[in-house]
Amino acid sequence: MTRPDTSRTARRAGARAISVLVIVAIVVIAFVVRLVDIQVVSAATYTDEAKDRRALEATVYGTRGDILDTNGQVLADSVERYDITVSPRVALGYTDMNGPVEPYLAGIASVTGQSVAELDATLRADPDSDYAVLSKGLTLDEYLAVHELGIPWVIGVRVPGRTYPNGAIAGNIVGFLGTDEPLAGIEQMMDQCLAGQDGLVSYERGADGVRLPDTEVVEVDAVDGADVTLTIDRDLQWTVMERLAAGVSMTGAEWGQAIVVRIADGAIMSLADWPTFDPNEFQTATVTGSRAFTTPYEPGSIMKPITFALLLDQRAMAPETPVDATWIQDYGEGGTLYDFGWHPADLTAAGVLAISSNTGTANLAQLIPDELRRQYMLNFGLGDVTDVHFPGESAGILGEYWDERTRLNVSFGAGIATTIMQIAGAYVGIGNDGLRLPLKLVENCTYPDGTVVEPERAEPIQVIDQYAAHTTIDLMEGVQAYYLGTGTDVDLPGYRLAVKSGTATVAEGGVYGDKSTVSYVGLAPAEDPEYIVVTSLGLPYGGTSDLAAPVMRDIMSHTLTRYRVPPSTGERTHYSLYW
Amino acid sequence: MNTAQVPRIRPAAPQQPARRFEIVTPAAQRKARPKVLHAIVAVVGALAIVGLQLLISIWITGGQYRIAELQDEQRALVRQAESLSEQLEIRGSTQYLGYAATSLGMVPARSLFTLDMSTGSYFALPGTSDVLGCAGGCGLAANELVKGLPLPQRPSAAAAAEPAAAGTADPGAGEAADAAVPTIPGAEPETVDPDVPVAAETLPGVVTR
Repeated sequence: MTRPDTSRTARRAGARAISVLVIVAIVVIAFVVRLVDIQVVSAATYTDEAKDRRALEATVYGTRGDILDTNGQVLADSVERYDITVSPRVALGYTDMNGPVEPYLAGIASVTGQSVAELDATLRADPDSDYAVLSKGLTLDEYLAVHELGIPWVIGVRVPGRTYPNGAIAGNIVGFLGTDEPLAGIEQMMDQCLAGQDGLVSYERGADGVRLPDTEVVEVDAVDGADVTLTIDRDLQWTVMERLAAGVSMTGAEWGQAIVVRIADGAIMSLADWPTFDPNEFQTATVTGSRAFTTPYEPGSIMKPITFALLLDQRAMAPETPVDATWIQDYGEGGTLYDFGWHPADLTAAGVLAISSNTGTANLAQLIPDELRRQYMLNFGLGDVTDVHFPGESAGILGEYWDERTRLNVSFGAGIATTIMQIAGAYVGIGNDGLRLPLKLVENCTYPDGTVVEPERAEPIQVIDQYAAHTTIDLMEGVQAYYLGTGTDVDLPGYRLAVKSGTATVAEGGVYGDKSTVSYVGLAPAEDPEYIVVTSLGLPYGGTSDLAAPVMRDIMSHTLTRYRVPPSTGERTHYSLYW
Repeated sequence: MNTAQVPRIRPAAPQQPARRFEIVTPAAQRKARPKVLHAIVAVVGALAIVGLQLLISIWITGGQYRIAELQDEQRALVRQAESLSEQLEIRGSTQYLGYAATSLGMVPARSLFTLDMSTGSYFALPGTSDVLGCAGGCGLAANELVKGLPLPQRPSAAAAAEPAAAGTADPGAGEAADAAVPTIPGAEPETVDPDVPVAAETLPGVVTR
């Protein structure tokens, strides 16, 4: 046997070991380099790529708050709706395997009420596109019906929707939402309170399309909007609207307005405009708003009690102050004033109001300076928007400087323009012992966590003193007694009612024409008024205020019984109408 | 080492390379040698741990899928509840109640009476919201949402004697005469019966965006 060459063997073994080590080192270095590249250098790129492949993002809608009436009845509600989307490229490509799309479209059309031609046109508008919306705003049931058709190329997308369960009942107040933003009414006015904030979640999806458990990450929290509670009473609102609509229909009026205000806090319990609209169908509506807030008009004689109230507060007159109320009077530069017809000239102040003499009222008004009268009118809330700040609300017109004619006219409601809301607001002052509380339409804003925020309100103004307020109401009770004598429908058995009518000829293009606006205001029970009802009708002819009287009376009758107001006590104060 | 065991006479053949040295392990060292059993236990243990971990992982994942499934079901049920409460609100609307009351034969009060307990007298207040006399069916304050909804029927009228006359509030809606159940005029009949509850399982996963 030959002895192995130990030194050579050792050298070979050493070389082998070194080469293995070198190879291992090279591999390790390669791995390390790659690792650093993946984990550090290109980390962001790979993360994004991976995320794009696996992670999906989804919007979580913050629910818009509801609009509720004073009793919690829902006037506007957030709901889920579904859009039926389709990839025209896929849908039309799919027909090669499964035949034409028409039968499928017919199935969708039978659910959505669209025509097959309409759906077909949408689908073929851009055949290479990957996105088209076949049908929008389906209810859950409709969507499920579409889903059950088993069409593989349609995808339902959940979108937030808005519905108004009570339709036109408070459409004029609630307003509506456009495609992107609120466009009218409370929806617009209280958007900051109602609007929710959409959130964002991301999650990962497996190869089979199943959402991987525990991969959902909330990137942005969705915040639900707050509910807005109104002062409106839905059931009263319906009664008022139906009665007003009937009144408009029976008199042939072009429009009508009726409002009910609770004197104790200035809350608007009902506000009806006619014609009105159903916010569920606002796209086809011809009227979308509230004339009561947005359209001022010459109030006419409904203004006289306000003039009387400020004169009484100044002690410039008493209820039985004799007045020269000749039915036609010449005022020099102020022109000639007429009453509606001949009447005895020897009226007391009470008689001037009962007979509604323009000349008598103008003569009384001149007992105090114009500037002082104007200041009272501002304090009564005329010439400025109400504290409601309704979208598009008009401040009316109360001129800064009155010429010789205007200074006479404003005393009986001509030469100025007011909204019915301003008139109602002024009467809150008269009915509430002279303290005018600002009108309110929004009770509060209730956040999902239970926080209740009441809107800031203007300070009440003591416009006139108690004596002036009570005496004005007494005089208005005298008006009712006088009207009853003339056969006007203002009888309210069991309750004492203070009223005043107003008739104004409508000026169009600066010229008084055939049209007229007739109004009626009522406060009851007169011994301590709790509710004010004001109604106005826009007539295409020269009608009298008697037409508006039964509308006001019926609404007041409903209001008093609905709110369980006990029948009146005591007797009215009688004042002589003549001297 | 016992020298007696060392062979004194080497056999002539065969020639084998002479063992130059022999590693002799003391007993203590032999004892200290790793035992095969230990290796087996360690390897099996490690495998068992890995296997167990795998099983637990599968079990937990299965649970997670179940949770996800239940969450989906809950979402579907919430959606269904919202849909039903939406329908309830529409059926609670003043217009629907008005039509339903009329369908059941009710009429609005013509007058409101107040009774004075102290004197035993009573007086009637004027005023009805139904001055046009259409008994809640004028549809003056419109509501698109109630159109086409089925109306409840008066038991006596249900016997098909005058189904349409008793059921439809609008006298102009002659086409409703054919319907077995009267509906509020003005829209297509419902294609989906809202009274049939939707099974949660049938609710598809909806893509949100």
